[in-house]
Amino acid sequence: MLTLEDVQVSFGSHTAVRHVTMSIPPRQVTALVGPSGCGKTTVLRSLNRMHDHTGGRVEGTIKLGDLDLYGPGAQPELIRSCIGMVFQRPNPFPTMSVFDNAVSGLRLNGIRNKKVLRQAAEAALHHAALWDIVKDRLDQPATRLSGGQQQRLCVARALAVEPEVLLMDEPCSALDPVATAKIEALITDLAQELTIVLVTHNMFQARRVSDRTAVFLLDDDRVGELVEEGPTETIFTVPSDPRTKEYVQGLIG
Amino acid sequence: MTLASPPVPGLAPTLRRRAATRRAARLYPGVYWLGGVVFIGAVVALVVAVAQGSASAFAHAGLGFFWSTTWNPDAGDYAAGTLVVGTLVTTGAAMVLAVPVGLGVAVALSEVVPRRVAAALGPAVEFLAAVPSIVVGLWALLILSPVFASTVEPFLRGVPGLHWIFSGPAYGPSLLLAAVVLAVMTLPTIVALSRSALGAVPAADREAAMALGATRWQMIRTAVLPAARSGILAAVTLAVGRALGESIAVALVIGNRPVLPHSLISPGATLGTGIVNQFAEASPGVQTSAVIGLGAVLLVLTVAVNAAGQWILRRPAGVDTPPRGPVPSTDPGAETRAALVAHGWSASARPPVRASAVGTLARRRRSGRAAEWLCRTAVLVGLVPLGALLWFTVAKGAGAVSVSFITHGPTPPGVPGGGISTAITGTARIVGLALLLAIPTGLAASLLLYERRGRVAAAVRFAADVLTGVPSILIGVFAYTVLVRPLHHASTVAAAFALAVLMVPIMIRANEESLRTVASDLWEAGMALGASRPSVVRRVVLRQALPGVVTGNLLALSRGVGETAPPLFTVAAPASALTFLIFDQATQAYPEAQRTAWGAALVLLVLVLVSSGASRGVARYLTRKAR
Repeated sequence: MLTLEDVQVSFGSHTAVRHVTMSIPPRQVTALVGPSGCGKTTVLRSLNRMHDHTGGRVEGTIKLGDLDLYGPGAQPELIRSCIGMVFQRPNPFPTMSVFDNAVSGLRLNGIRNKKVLRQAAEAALHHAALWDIVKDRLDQPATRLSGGQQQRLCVARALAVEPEVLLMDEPCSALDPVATAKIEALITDLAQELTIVLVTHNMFQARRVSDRTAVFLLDDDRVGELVEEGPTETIFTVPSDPRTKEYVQGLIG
Repeated sequence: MTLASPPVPGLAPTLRRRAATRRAARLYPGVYWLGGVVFIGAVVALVVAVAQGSASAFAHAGLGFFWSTTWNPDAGDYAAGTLVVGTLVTTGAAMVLAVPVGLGVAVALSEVVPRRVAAALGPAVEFLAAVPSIVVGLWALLILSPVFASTVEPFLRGVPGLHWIFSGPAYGPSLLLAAVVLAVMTLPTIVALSRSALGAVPAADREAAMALGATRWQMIRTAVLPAARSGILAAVTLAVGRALGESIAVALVIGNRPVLPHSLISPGATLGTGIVNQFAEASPGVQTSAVIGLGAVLLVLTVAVNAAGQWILRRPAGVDTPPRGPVPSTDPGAETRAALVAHGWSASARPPVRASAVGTLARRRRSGRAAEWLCRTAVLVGLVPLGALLWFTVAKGAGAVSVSFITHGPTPPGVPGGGISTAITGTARIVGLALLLAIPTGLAASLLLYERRGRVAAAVRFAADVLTGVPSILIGVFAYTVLVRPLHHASTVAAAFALAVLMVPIMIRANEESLRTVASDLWEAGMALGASRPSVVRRVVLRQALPGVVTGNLLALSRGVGETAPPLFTVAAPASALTFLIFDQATQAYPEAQRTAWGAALVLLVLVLVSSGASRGVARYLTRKAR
């Protein structure tokens, strides 16, 4: 269970998003939706402390179980190895082979045993539904794969570290419809053992793959805020907040 | 309504007048073709002059000229082998010093130190790049060399296990001191180019590593350094090219003994210093030809190395295009899960990632911190020579500079009260004339590159690449053989010609780069208004590119002011150019002469800094005005 309590993220004097209080249940897909610039990616990146290096200041409390992610004893590196991330554009390491990409997270976390690496790579690539495609080309550069395959390699890379939570930041925005369908199927599949937080601008996608949906909008001060959050069906059919209704229906009709 | 009879009264005569200007504009292609051809002609002439000048030496010694180690004027036997070895040894030793430090500084500035610190230190490194090599040489000769003789070399000689590279008497001037000078001069190149390569690594690559639980250093090592490797390799290659050809500063500190080196602290000689020291004294005939032959060997070496560097730099990054065609589909689902179990995806068989992540974190952080401290130390190590150089030039130079020092001409050796006025005006004349030659040629040739894509444009680009890598000493020799020797007359014109040859490739590259940044829709907009291509280029493209063009030309100017080789081979007396004067005075034993050298070095440094500072200021001003 990930819990956010009155979370606010600001860059310098500019507040990007505030008043975010929500719970993200385990082994479900939670979609963060909303127009561009409303802070959904900012919230996502606060969940594994990616703002540490980009100068974002996170206030409020974010907990994974009992662990306060921004508490005094929290180690950002360990948090990120528990909470993996997949980015908007496929970003396999361009100088590494498919295999080296798949095990890069394990190597970074100090695992050297070749047999373990080999086994983990195979399992993670299976898990990301990529094994049959790449099993004969593990030594080829990762950049030779297609865009959708690269993105699944990025999922495999994240899975190899065995995260409890996987953050996905618009993982299909750079992909064609066929590749998108594969990633969506993968998301549904992965949710059986992982908690998934998915940022998407695509309401259809949110409806198709998510169990819960959180709607972010800009408030009167042009700062992002969490408007409503709940089971996806409820949000899309009987939202309680009029702004949600307007937004959701305006986009879906 | 037809175009032939415009409905607006008065428009028809205006359009007719425009037609006249269009006729004038037909000259425009002629102008850029001429610029390109003149430039290619100069480069071809350089190669021909070196080849022709060295022909009889090669005829005498055959290909053995490259590696044979004899240099015996009495027997008339000459070969470059000894000097090739000296060149490779000094360059190699310089790279052993400069590459780790330079890479450390680049990583520190790009990744480790706070952005504000990097923003302050970056210009300091660039400043070091602007210091003329003769000033570095002067500092090394008068300040470093005594310290090397008294302390550094005796210490190295005493280090156990290093006797095979450090042995023999400690004189001061040595291959090692030359290597230190080369390291100081190439460090800024390595730092600047590596830093931009590191900075070009996309944030996505860095975040990919971070999101997997990497420490900062692990991120640098896994995601940043590998992605920047070809840029770093190019930086080192270009630094090697520069070190191979640097001659005049090295000639001051290497001891000039053309024998096979047996120790790094023994005096030696390089191809470049061989030319500097023997060119004036060589008797006509085979000996002069042999000295030019050294230049030919140097030309081959530096052009090869620089071509490799340029090639690495221009090569597209290692991104392959994904294969086209249908992708075999696998549907993630139940069978995948079955396969997972079959391949050991059960709790017990999982690799112990979490335990390893926790267990190794302290160690990963510790080694990362150590590596990052090494990079910070490299910054200090890199800044020490910069600080010392500045401090001594200002401190020693300020003691010499006075109003009369700047306004008076030289006095005979040993007579006090001499000044450098003739050197200042001489340098101004040379540089001014060189700019008159170089700016139009550079602009015309870069317009050719902008307008055309054919073989001539490719030849211009290739010639510019070649010439950027050609050591300035060769250009001095070239100007001597084509202008001074045939006319029997040393002259400002010859020096200006040499300097222009040096500056044009710098200008061409800078101009072309700024022309390319002008958005193509901008000139399409101009063309759509019915303007002729030349007037669009003049009124739209050049105006937009002006800040870059001015900056590039001023940078070429600041480099030209500090060049020693062109005047060294072309003007009659040291006192007719600042750099030549410094070179001449530095090697004389009188304290008065050394004072003059320091004073002239300070004046030169100020001139160079003013012109390179001005190039930034003007660029900023013009960019702001253009908005």
